[in-house]
Parts: sequence; structure tokens; C-alpha cells
Amino acid sequence: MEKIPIFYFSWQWKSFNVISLAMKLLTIMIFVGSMAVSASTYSQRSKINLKFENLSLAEILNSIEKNSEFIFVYNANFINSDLKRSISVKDESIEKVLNLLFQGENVSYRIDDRQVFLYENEELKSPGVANEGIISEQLQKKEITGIVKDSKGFTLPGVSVVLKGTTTGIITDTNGKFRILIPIDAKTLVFSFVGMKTQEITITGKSSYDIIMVDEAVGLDEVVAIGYGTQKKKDVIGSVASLSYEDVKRTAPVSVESTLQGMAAGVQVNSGSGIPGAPQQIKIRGVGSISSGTDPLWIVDGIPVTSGPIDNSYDGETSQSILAMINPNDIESIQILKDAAATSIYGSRGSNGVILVTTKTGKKGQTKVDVDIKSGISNWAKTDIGYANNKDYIAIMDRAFTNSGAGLYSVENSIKQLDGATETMTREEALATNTNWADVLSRTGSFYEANLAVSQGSEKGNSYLSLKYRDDKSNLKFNNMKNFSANVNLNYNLLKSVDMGFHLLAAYTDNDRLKSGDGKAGAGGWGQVNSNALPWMKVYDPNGLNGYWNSRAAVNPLAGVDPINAQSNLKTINILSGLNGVWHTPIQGLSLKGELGMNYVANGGRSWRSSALLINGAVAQESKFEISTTNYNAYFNYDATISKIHVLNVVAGVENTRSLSHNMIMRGEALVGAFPEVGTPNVLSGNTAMGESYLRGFFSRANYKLLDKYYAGVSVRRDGISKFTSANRWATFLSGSLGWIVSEEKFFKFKPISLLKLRGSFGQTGNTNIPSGITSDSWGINSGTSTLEGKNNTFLNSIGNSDIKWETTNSLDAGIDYGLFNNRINGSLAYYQKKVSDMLLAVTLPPSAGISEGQNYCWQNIGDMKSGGVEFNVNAAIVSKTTFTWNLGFNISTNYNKVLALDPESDANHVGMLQSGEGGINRTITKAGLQWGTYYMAEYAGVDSEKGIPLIYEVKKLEDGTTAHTGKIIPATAENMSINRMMLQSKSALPKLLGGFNTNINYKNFDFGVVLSFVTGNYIYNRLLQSSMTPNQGMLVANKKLLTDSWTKAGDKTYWPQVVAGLLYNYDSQGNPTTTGVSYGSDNNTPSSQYLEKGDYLKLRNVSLGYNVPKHLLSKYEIGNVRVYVSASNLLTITKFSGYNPELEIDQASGGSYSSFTSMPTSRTFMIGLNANF
Amino acid sequence: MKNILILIVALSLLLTSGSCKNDSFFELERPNQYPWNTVSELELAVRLPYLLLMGNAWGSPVGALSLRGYAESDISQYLNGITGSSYYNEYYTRKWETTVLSSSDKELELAFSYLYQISTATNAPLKLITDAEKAGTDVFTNMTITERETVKRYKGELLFMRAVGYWYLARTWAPPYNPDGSNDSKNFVLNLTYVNGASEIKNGKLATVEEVYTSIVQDLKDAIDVLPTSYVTSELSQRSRVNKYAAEAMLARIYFYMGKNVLAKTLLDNVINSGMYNLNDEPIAAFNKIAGEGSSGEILWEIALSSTSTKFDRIPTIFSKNAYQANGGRGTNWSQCAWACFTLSNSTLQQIGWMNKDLSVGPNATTDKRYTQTFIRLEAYKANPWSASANPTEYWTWQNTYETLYPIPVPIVWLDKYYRATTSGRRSNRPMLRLAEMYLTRSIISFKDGDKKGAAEDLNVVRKRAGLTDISSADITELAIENERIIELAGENADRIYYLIAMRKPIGIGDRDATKYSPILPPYSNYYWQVPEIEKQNNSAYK
Repeated sequence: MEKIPIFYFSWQWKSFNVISLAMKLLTIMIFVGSMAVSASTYSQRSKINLKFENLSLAEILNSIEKNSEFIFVYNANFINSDLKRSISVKDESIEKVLNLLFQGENVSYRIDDRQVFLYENEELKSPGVANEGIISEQLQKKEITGIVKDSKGFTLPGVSVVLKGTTTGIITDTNGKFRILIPIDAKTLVFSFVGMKTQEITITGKSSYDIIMVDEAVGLDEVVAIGYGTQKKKDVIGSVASLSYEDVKRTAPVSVESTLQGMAAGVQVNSGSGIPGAPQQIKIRGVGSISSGTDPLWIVDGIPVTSGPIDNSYDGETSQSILAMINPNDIESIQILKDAAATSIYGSRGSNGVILVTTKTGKKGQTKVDVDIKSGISNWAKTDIGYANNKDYIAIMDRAFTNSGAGLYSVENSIKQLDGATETMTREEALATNTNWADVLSRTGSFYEANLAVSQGSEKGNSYLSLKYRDDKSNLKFNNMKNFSANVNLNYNLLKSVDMGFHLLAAYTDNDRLKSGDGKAGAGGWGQVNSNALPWMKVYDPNGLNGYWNSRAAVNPLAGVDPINAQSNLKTINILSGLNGVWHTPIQGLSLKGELGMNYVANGGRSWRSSALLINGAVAQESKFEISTTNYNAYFNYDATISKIHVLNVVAGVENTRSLSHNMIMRGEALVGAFPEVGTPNVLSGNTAMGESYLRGFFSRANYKLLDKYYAGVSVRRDGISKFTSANRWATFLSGSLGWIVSEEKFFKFKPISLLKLRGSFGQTGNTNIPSGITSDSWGINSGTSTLEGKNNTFLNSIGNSDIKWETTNSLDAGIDYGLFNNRINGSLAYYQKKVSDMLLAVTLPPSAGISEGQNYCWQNIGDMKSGGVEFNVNAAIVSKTTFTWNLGFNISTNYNKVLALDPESDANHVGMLQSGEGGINRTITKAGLQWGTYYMAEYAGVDSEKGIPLIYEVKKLEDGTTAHTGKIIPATAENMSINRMMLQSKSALPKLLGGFNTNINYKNFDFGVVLSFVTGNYIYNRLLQSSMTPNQGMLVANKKLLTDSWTKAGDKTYWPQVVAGLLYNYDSQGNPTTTGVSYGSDNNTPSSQYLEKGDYLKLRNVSLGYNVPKHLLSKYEIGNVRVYVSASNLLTITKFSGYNPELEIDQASGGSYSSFTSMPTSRTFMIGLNANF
Repeated sequence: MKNILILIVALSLLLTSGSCKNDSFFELERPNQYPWNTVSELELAVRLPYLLLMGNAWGSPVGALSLRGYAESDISQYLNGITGSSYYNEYYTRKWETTVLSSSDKELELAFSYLYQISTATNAPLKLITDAEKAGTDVFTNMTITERETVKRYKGELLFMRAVGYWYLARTWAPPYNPDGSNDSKNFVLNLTYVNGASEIKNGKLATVEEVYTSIVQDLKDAIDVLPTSYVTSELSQRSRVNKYAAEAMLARIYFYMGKNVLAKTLLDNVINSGMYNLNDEPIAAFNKIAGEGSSGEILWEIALSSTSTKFDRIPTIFSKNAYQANGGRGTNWSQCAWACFTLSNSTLQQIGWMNKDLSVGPNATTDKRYTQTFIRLEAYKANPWSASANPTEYWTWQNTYETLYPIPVPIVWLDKYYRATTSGRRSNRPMLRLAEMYLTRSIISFKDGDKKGAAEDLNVVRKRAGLTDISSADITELAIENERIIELAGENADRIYYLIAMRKPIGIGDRDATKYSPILPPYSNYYWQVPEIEKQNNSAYK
């Protein structure tokens, strides 16, 4: 830091001899008593204690500054700052201290609250006026006055106002006002303040200026969070994407997860349904592992937090996202660390990327109050996916049954196949009853949300407090959620060289969830809308239980979720608490930091289903789950600048993480009593389980910068984890990175390019997203209804492998950061490649292992997989004027993935891994040489126009185990479909391309923003389409295409075959006529590419329009800023996918993406909000 | 220099403080271990194999074997036009050589998995027990004499269930035992120890048929040695846990199958002469109870589920009149699945005298209690019963029942012995060993030995219970015993196939097209299903 000759806001350590200073400071004790708030000024309230010997004036003044809020303003030309003084005072006023200090010196002072102006005795000065007499006694002066505010209208004290090209200057007073005498021919004033863009104001004929300082949002000097520290954006040589608060608030998101969609290159967010609190899936740079988890590590204010869904679902209820409990309004910034240079400092947890969330803190200045209130309504974006109405349905089934020689469809027969059916219907009634079950279960959603944030800051510290309350009523009837959260951030300079910080985030949700399941056994809700709730069925029946038609038959979706029949409540609490301290050691540039963080997540679930839904009486389940993670670390940060050209930063430390979980479920059946609780049931079952995991890591990072343009960085981390045996517990993860700012070179004379930085990194990371206890066999206990005579038993849950060790991901990253036209256009281009080796693979065991189907695997370090891609992003300030700004942002990224090897047995047999996906059905293959989760199924070849039967391509297996067409087209019998499965290379759930676009326009008092996101190249298996296009026995919903687009007579050229009951055609696998019906599959267990659809979409994620009320209308009410805005989310999705919503999760087990019975539409939300600052 | 020293010292302190007590830092509070620490906890291990034999809804080894055996046999017919899934058809069309069951056809694959789970579920506690025996110590500390006896019994039950598991595996996935051959076919892995680690599992060793049967016989012999003749358990159905006689009956069953009739007869004598079992109850009595409602006197062993269990076998739904949804058996509570597709074959019905060539009711039908209790005849479909013009008298004669999706234009006789409990049909106890079978097996063994008197006596015990008149020793024939066995045991444990193999008789084609099908002849060398693909793909034993 360069010393400004005339103004000393602070002194630098380097100007002192550190050791001698340390000795002298032994005798110094300063205490500034900060009084209670009163009308008196700071100088009047403050009492000073001083005791020191033989210290320079400069040192003394600096010490006072550091330990109080006083700021000394003086001209070094006439103050002898080297003058030595000894002084000892106790509880004295500042005036007394100054009198003693300058006793015998030709120095006077004037005190204006916290500002102390020192000048030569004979001069008379006014508050806030620089020593113009010293600057140039000979020149004629003119006075310039003004006020400096931030963009929200708050006055800014302490802003430096300097006459350009001189050392003449002043700082603004506590009200942001300044008054400066300058030469009459002076032309420019420079206004600067930490964290804000420096402004130059041309002096015109005016004598008064109002200055608005703007936040330094995207500047290269912007400081961004990296692992265990911060770094200037310009100096970052890893792949890091940053989102500011402005980016976050633009879409008024409901959760921190959704802020990322379309905003950062290489980051995929599947936002899923519009159910409040629903988790969203995030993948950074695709997937980096097969069996281990591929979700990123989340760090909030330095504390690793529990992420992902917290479930205890009883019957298909939507899970509660833990991250959704963090208030987006509290977010200051988000950094997404993507390459090894950025993530390897997190070692074993870094391979899936790291997301750093920094929450807001108080800023220096006045107390600020921020109020944000919004409310909105929502509806489903799309509910019509082609289901037939009652008449069409009966016509379809009539056709099916007739074609199968079974006469007409019988609604009575359909009802009779339902367990517990108590009411029946006639065909005539059915033809007269048209129920749109999606509509029956839906409503217009609504929400309101109130946020209050109070912050303040001073030289001694800052504080931030926010409160949030949100009440959601989703588009599903009876589905409501309340969310309350509070966030406290306190940071204080407790001691002279010690900073302390405290962070507390507490969030609570009360979620009235809805169960959702297909089939029988008391299911209901949305799952039944897509399965067994037929359009000719009634909703209500006066004679039915609780007024519903056939509620015990389990197919009435509304009866299944009405609180009179079923309840499912989940209350969740998430507490994130952190305490950190920094000791600025006497060694210049060396500080020691310690962080203690605790994340406690707990929930209690209560589900109940009445005897009106169940044949065997009411059931209830209560559950509790808690996970507490304690994280404590300590590390050094050392900054040094040597000879002005070498800049070094070293971080080294240790981190410990202890995680404990506890789970309890209690279930009662055949309940006694009418209360919706377990109570005293006839059958009681349940269990508890505990889990634990311990992680310790030693880490270090060194970043070196030469001449502000050459960069090098290394990091090393050694991690140990309790999930492995002691022999394999520890592993070391290394990374190295290089950077070069070419544009800083003298030879680089191409002016339009203001920044050209080349960077590259190579490093290693690991993955801890594996279960605990996999090194040894584990046993489980069955209890309750699943067992013989209802009694318990023990079973081998899984087979352990004591030899497993860390999997390692080697990552290569090369990129360019660029800036054009003085960085008005900037962005980056990066190429990355990741190779995971010694993969922690859950290797499928043969059934002869004797483990239950779901656990029939054993973890091994086997297999390799690579992935890679290119990322590009650009941000442009198209227009940047005072009253009109227009910014554009665009990002796009590609991703490929290839499995190199799996376990020797499956590689040798060329079979790959066949994991079950939705509904327990296998539709994908993961095999060496192919992409992870390549779709694997019969390949549809259309309809035999003479016979009306579906056809598939005959398939042969090649030597390498892959498949190819034989050239023959054969009937799609279940047998043929089973034998002729095609590995549909390049078709998987992973998008090949994804990205986003955003723009923000500010014109005068208006602002307008748009955010779009897109994904392409991925495929979805539309199980719903398969189900609705398969007329079995008239028990499942049907698609009207069966009536309109299917084969009816010889010669028809259609995509869909003849409609028959039960998919039984009288043609065998060779196409020969038969007298017995031959199965052509089912609604579920015969996957066909007929139902594989592209998942491409372009989504208009958010459109917002805001209006800032003119300040002159607000000033008299002491309101800084008021913005009124309207916003619409999920307004439009352009896609060819025929289901509700193409944003479906990727199933980690199988790699596929499935539209299932429980898939829901997204909600389209319209909101209006008001934001005010005081 | 001082600065550097301070730095080094501080860093050293930091790193040292973090690294101290590394081992204890990672020490788990709850490490994995065997779940059994007392005799009462070991009970939890013994209970599991019984449950696994029932598997789950559509993967029950008991149900899968029964369906497959019934469907492949000559006594069933596959109804034309029924909406069955493909693999039902594959059983009937005997495609075991050509068809590879896909993962979508879960039935046999699941059964295969459950049977190996029985192997693991028995091997682990058996290892615990035998390790203690080898060491000359008790399994647990401070055991009482009673507890030692209990552990002994547990060992017997575990050995019994391991034998049953491999017996089921051998019956579907290996060629039948050939009393006159080498039995060296290697078809699946025999695990008799508690295996450790993926490598051992993925590199298994295939056992010969001889080795498998030797193991089964030895396990049952060992079980007989340690099992008591009776004991009291906490189960609702006391006969859901096996005793010495159940083990002897099971071994007799296997000996008969292996052609070792003398050994079988000795064991059958023990069981029948024990006096613990009788045929005093009606034929349906073995099938119409849930746990807690008592057991028919003929039950040696049954699988019993609680009134709330969800683990009930649904597979007999495919080959019997009643569906698992039924509550109350017949009448208004009757239910039938649309995918039920196997009835008794016409040829069999004519052979046993239950149906004439003109499809009218045969001479032996109406007098037989089983015809009315455990079978049901449906008349030919005449009209859509739900249409306004339909005359109810033209179709099935009972009211308020479920009609199959496909009208069947001829009279048919369904099996109707499953899901018959009035309390909760789906949770009806499933007989596994019945005294009637013991009599019938001893009858045919006696007959083959030339002891017609003994054969007739045993046969008549069964006939008497069915309300039929005795057959004299002069009139008794092998066919009479065989017909009685068809009627008594149809649909249970693939008995028809079992019997024909034991008798080294051709497995006939039944109603199948004689131009396309041929009987399966002894020694039935190719009569077995391929193990599931997933087993082959993941076990180098199959290379």
C-alpha cells in the first residue's frame, strides 16, 4: 500500500521496525470507552488511556486511530511526525491528549466528532477544510462543497476527495459532506473509497457536487473468496465462477440452489418441481464418479454444511432441501470453484467442485435497515400431457378390448380389481363423468415473504441481522410450508490485533407435505393422477367415506391427501453457527485464523393415514433425524511483498470435521383411536440408527506473483477419514497452477484488449461422498410388517471391503481470462479434463453373494472414467451511462464423459454395470468405452403397416460387447425386446451443452432483467408416456394418441401400433400368426427407445421489472431507496419433451433421467415486491 | 531471522496440535460387528431363512417353484388369450434351454437371489456356532443348559433351511439327480461357509449335482441329529418352525427324488408313526388359516405370516382361481387376477375322472371333497355378464364374482387352495410339508416294492379324508396312487414334476400340441433353467 503523503488514514506496519515496536508496545495500553448512545459527540463521549514511552508522534497517532474511531487529518509537511513523545494519561479527553502531545509545538487542532484536523497554530480552519494555506499560499482559491452517497442513497463518511495530480485532499465527514479549497484552475477531483469504484469529477462552474459512489462489482480488484482465504479477482488463476448479490437478487430466488441456474458456466441445476422446499440437483462439470456421490461441497462462511435432501419420506412426499433453508437475501456472494487449482485445497472433498457462500456483513457507516416484502401467485406451467378424458378413455379401452376379442371395456371390472373398493359405477355413469384429476388436485398457489435486515459498521466492527418469514401455498392442494430464518453476523476488533467474528444462521420450516404414490396400499396424491386415477372416476360420493368416492380403493388422489384422511408434516431446523478469530501477529503479513463451525440439522416427521384410506385400519409413522457436523480449523495466512515485485501468499493449517447422525422411525398400524398419531397401535414397529464420520486434513497453499503478471500456485492437502481402515486412511492431494497476464507485457500494444490472462492448472482431488462403514460387513435388523409373523430378524446388510482407499481425480484445466475495451467486455474461456482413477465403485456382486437385491454390491477401488469440456462466458457492459446501463451475460459449456474401465469381471465379459433406475427397472448400461449411464433398451423401428404390431431393430453383440443392428427388423415381443437391447451410444441423461443468458437494463428509475437457461443433448426416459400408451386392463391412465395416432387397419402408416389390451398381439417373435396372445411388453418393465425423448429445453427462467422511487420524494422521510418490482419465474419453457417438465434429476445409481408417476410440472410464479432501505 | 523463527514455531505448534491423537480421532463409537450377543439375539438369525423362503411378493422361491413346476408339467393348461406376461408362457412352452430370463422377468431371478440369501443367512450363524464347537466353548458366555439346548436346536433349524435353499436351487437350475449317472454337471455355486470379500464371491466355484445333493443330505442328517421332536416357540404358528420330523420328512422327500426309496421309507415311517400328525381335518383346513388360528393336524411345517405382513407370496395368483386380494375365500369376497392363466389340463381332468370328454363333470368329481374345497369348476363363458342383455344363468353360476378379462368358452377347473383364510386371504399359511404327501409317497414306494397292502392302506388314509371310498389292495394301481397324488398335491412345490422325476417317468405334454412337444424323458439331463444372466456376468465361476 502506498502512503498518501498528506493524509494518513492509517499507518503501515512496514514503516516500523517490528521488533523494536513490539518492545515499545509492551508499555502501551489504550482503551477507548465507547459510551452509550447519547446526543453528545464521539469526542465528548470518549475517554482515552495512554501509556507509552519515547514513541514518535506518528506512531502515537496511529495507535489512537487503531484503537478508537478518531481519524487524524494533517499535512506531513508541517507536522513533525518523527518527534518522540512520552505520555501517560488515564480517562482523559482527546483534547487533553492532544494538548500534551503537541505541547511546545506550533500545532493546533480542531475536532469534528471523530475527525481531528491538525494544522499550524496561526491558521484558522473550518471543519472539513484542507490546509490550503500550506498547499499553495500564493494561489487564489475557490471552495467546492458537496455530499457523497452510495447507490442506495446512504451518505458515505470517510470518502477520500483528492485534487487530481496533487496531494491535496480531504475526507468526507460523518454526514458524507465535504468542503475543500482548491486552486481556481483545478480541473478534477478524485473520489475513492474501499470497495467502490473510484470516480473522477470534472470541475465545472458549479461549486456544489452530489456524488454517487458505485460498488466495485466486477472490477479486477474485486476480492473474491477462495478456499481458506480471499484473492483479488485479477490474481485468481483457477476456474472460479462468481455471483454477486446483484446476480442473486435479480431472480428473487426461493433458494440458494436456484440462484445458480444459467448463471455460471459448467454448472447444471435441475430445479425439479415447484413444491416448496424441494431439493434441486447441482452438478459442476458433469459427473466425476459412478458410485460415489457427485454433488458439490457447500461451504457457508467457511463452514462445510450439510447439503442435499433431508427426507424421512413416508410415502413419496417431496424431500426437504437443507440448502433451501438459507435465505438468499443474506447472500453477499457465491463462488463456484471448479478446477483443481481452486478445489484441491479441499482435498478429499473437492472432486465435485466446491461452492462457497459468503453471507452479508455490516458495512462501515450508518445503521442501515433493509426491508423486502414480496408476494405472489403461481400456477402449474404445464399439466396437459395428453391424457384422455372419460369418453376418449372408454373409447380407447373399448377399442383395445375389442381388438383383443374381449368385448367392451368394463368399468365395473376395473373397479373390482381395486383393493377396498366400496363404490362402483356403471358404464353410463362413467360416460357421464369427466374428471380432470390434475385440476382436481391443483390450485392457484400463493406466497408472501417478508425480510428485514439491519446492519451497521464502524472502525471497531460491524453487525448484520436479518429475519425472514415466508408462507407458501403450493399448486398442490393442502401443500403448505412456512419458513422462518434468522441470520446474525458479528465482526469486531476485540483486541488490538485480534478480530473476532460470529455467525449464526437459524432456519425453521414447517412443511405440510403431500404423499404421492401410484398403485395401491393407500397411495394417493399426484402419483395417482399419473397412474390409477381414471378420468371416468368420480371425486366425491355422498355415501363414501368422508364424502369421497372409493377412498379405500386408493386411487382417488384427492381423498388420499385431504387432511381429513391423510397428514404428513415435516418440521426441520437448520442451525449453522460459526465463531472465527484472526490474530494479526507481530510479524508483518502473518495472521493466524481459527474457525469453529457447527451445523445442526434436525427434523421431525409425522405421517398419518386414516382407516378411510386403508382396509386394515389407520397407520401412522413418526420419525426424527438429526445430523450434527462440527468443523474446526486453524491456519496461517502470510502475505509478503518483496522488493515491490514479488508477492507471496502462503496458507497452511489443519482442519477437523466430525459428523454424527441419528435416525429414528416409529410406525404404528391398525391404530386405536381417532387421533392422527402413532398412539397405542395394535402393531408397533420401528428402529433407530446412528452414523458417524470423522475427517482430518492438513493443508497448505502458496501463491506467488511476479511483477503483477506472472503467477504460480501450489497446494497440498493430506486428508484422513474414518470411512477407511487405518492402513488406507490417509491420502495426499496436490495441485499446481500457472498464470500469465500477457496484456501487462510491454510488447502487448493492442489497446482494445485490456486484459489477457493465460492460466492453467493440474491437480488432484478426492471424494468422500461414500457411505460410512463400507470397510466391514454390516448387519441390519428387520422389524414390523415385513417379517415373518411380524417378528424381528437380523440380516446381512452389506459386504465390506477392508482394502478400499481414496479415489483420485486428476484434473487439467487451461483457460483464458479476457477483458476488452477497458474490461467493459470480459469473461473467460476454459478447457478442462478430469480423470478419476481407482474409482470407488460399488461393484455388482453375483446374486450368489446372498445379499438382498438393493445391497448386492461391494465397494472396490476399480475402474477409471474421464470427462471433459469447454466453458465460455462473457459479460458485457453494453451501455454504461449515469442514467442508462445495459449489461449482458452469457455462458455456455460442453461436457463429455467416457468410462475407461470397470471391474475386471464385467470388463472381461463386456457386460458393464446394469443398475436399476426408476421403478426398479434397468434402462441404462455403464460400460467401459461408453458414456456413464448410456441408455440401453430395445430400439423402436416403427409399426408393421400390415399387422399393426410394433417393431424393433434386431441387435447383435460385437466382440467388444457393444451392440449393432443386424439389419433385420423384428416384432417387439417382450422376448425380442429383452434379447435385442441396443446400447444407444451418445444417448444419456448428461447434457452435452448447457448454459444461460442474462441481461439487465437500468434506465433512469427503471430496471429490467431477464435470465434464460438452456440444456441440450440429454435424453429422458419418459416412463409416463410408456405407461399411458400401454392399455393394459384399463387400470392406468391413457394417452389420447391411442385414439388418434395409432394403427387401425392394414396399410396405415403410424408411429403407434394397434391398440390392444395387455399388449398382447397374435404374432410371435418371428412375426408368425398365433392363436395365443403373445406379450409385447408391459407398461414398465420392457424399456423401448419409443419412450426415450430429448431433454433439450430453453427456459425463460425469470423476467423482472423494477422501479426506483425518485429520491427527492423519499428524502424527507429519511428513506434511502425504495424499489418496487414485479417478477415472473418459469414463464416459458421451449422444449419438445412431451412430459410435464424436462428438468428432471439425473439418477445417480443408474445414470438415467426418468419421468415417473411422481413427476410434477414446474410452477410458474408471478410476484410483486417492495424493497426499501433506511 | 527472528520472524522466521516465530513463523516456524507457530506453524509447528499448529500442525502438531492438529496431528496429535490421530488414531483416537478416527475411532468409531459404533463399529460394525456381529449382531448376536445372546441366545435370544441368535433367534433373530434363525428366523430369517424362513422369511426368505417366502421372499417377497413376486420373487418368492416357494411361489416361483410352484408356478414353474405346475406350468411346465402335464397337469396344467395355459389359457388362450390370457393376459399373462411372457415368462408364464415360457414355462408352459418349456423354453428353459433357449430363453434367457431378462432382468424384467424378475420371478426366477428374484427367487434365485432369495435362495442364496438363505445360504448366507444360515452360513453366518452356523459359522458362529461351529467355531465355538471347534474351540470347545459355548457360543456366548454364561449360557444356561437350556440355552445350550436352544442353540443346538438353532443349529438344526439353520442346517435344515440351508438344505432347503439348495434343494430349491437344485430343482430349478440343475439337472435332476440321476441315480444311475455321474451327476457331474456343474451349474451353480455351493457356498457352505460364510464368505468374506468381493473377490471370493466374484470368483466362486461351481459345484456338481452330486456335491449339491451330498451337501443337502448331510445338512438334513445333521439337522435330524440335533433337532428335538417338539418344542415351544414364541411364533403364533408352532409349526412354522421345524422339528426332527419335519427334517425327516424333508430328507425322505429328497431320498425319494434321488431314488433311495428304502432310506426314504424309513424316515416316512418315523414321521407317520410319530403320532404327532393326522388327517382328521378337512382338506381345506391346511390352507384356510393365518398364524394364530391353529394348524391342520396334517401340517408338519408351514410358512406362517402375521396378520399385517406385507411379505406374502402373490405368485399362486397366476395359477389359481383366487387372487391375493381375496379376503374371506369364496363367495362375495372372491377375487381373481386378470393374469391368472393356468388351470388343470383337460387330459389330467379326464385321467382323474373329473371331466368327461364332452367336458361335462366327470364321475369322480362330485364325491371328492377336494373337488369342492380346493378346486373349482367354472362353466363356459356365454355372454358379456355386464351387458344389459346378459342372462346371468348363461355364464358362471355364482354371483358377484370377478370375471376374467378374456371369456373362456369352455368349462375349466381351477386350483383353489390359496388365499383361502377368511381373516386375511393374502396372508394364509402356506403348507410346506403335509402328512398327506408322506402317506402318498410311502404308498407309491410300498407299491413299487410290491407291498400293495401297505400301499393301499396309506392311499386310503388320504382318500378317506377326501370322502372317498377305499381302494382294495387287489385293485390298487400305480395310476390310482398317481391320480390321488395329482388331486392332493397339485400346485404345491411343483409336486407333479417332482413325482415323475422320482419315479423316472416321462414328463408328459398334457394338452400341448403333440406335433410340437415331446415328453421330457429320464434322465432329464437338459431339464434345468440357466442361472440368471446377472449371476453369470458377475461371477468368474461361469467363464
